[in-house]
Amino acid sequence: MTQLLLQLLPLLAVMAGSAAAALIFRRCRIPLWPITGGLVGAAAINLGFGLAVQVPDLIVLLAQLLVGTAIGATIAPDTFRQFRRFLAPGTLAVGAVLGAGLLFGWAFAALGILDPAEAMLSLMPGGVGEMVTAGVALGFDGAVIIGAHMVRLFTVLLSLPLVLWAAVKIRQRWIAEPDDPGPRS
Amino acid sequence: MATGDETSRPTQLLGIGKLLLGGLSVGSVLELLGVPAGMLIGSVVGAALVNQPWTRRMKPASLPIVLRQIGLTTVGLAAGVLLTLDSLLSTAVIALPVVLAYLALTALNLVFITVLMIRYQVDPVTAVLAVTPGGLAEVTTIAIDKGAQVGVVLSVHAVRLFSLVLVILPILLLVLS
Repeated sequence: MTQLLLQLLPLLAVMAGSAAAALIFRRCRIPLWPITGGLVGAAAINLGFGLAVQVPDLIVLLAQLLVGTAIGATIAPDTFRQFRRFLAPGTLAVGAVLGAGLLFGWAFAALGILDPAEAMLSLMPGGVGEMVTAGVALGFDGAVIIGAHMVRLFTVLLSLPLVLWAAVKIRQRWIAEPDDPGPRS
Repeated sequence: MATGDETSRPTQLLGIGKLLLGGLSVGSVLELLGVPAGMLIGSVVGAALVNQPWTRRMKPASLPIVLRQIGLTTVGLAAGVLLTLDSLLSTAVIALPVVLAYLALTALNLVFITVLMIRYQVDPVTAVLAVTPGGLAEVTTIAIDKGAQVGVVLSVHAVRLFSLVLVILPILLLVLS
């Protein structure tokens, strides 16, 4: 029992650090505080104490189940109608974004910034979990890929208010009618 | 969507159980089939399917926000423990080019944001989040919190995720392995 507890202690310490950082990030109103706080807290405890913790697959699966279920529960019947309506522009936008990701990956490899495979996986705009999982499954250095996606995550989060501001300006300048009350946000 | 205060506690718990069971069922199938992030994608599909009002008596349930936050924190934790000192150093070297690449991508996305607002009468928050380069969990969570039209955001990101998982990653697998 004691031995099991000693084995679990590093994992519990990282979990505690993750939760504490998430709560601090929440208090500081940092966007997407559960992921960003959880990530920074876990990294700080893991690296700070040299723990080299490995999170059991079951815990990762449970986390994905909770997040996925929460998203799925918000899907109303009209979502399926919206899916058909937005399939064409969505495919176009996705094609351009994935194409740009491949292009950037190729450019990073050509400039010698990263290994070609790691460059592709690092610059492809997927989620942290998705791309790192794919990279590790392919046998590449997950640490490099996660580093790039961490930078991506913070770049996207920090630039989001600016992009929202630009979108509102575009709407006001070119789309909204004179008596339009404006967007909700 | 929300269960509301008038719903009794056993009914709420039953609804949560139904959602989790639906998510677990489809998620497990996708995991067993070896689909990357299969549990995440499958639980979205499974929970959505069991939560539809198939009959008049069926009332949609919702998952308590704290469970979503625990899930997201754990996703962050699983990513955070992969960071090493070497990866932090290599990240520092590539950080600026990566930031510039994503800012360029964001500028490109302004075109699609404009198209979504003009052609499809989508509000700015929804349009921005629909094309934001990020994971399904990350972007949809922001969409829920910001009151965007989750269905629209989810539609575009589902196309991205399926393209990535079913087309791009297998091609990369073939080329890179």
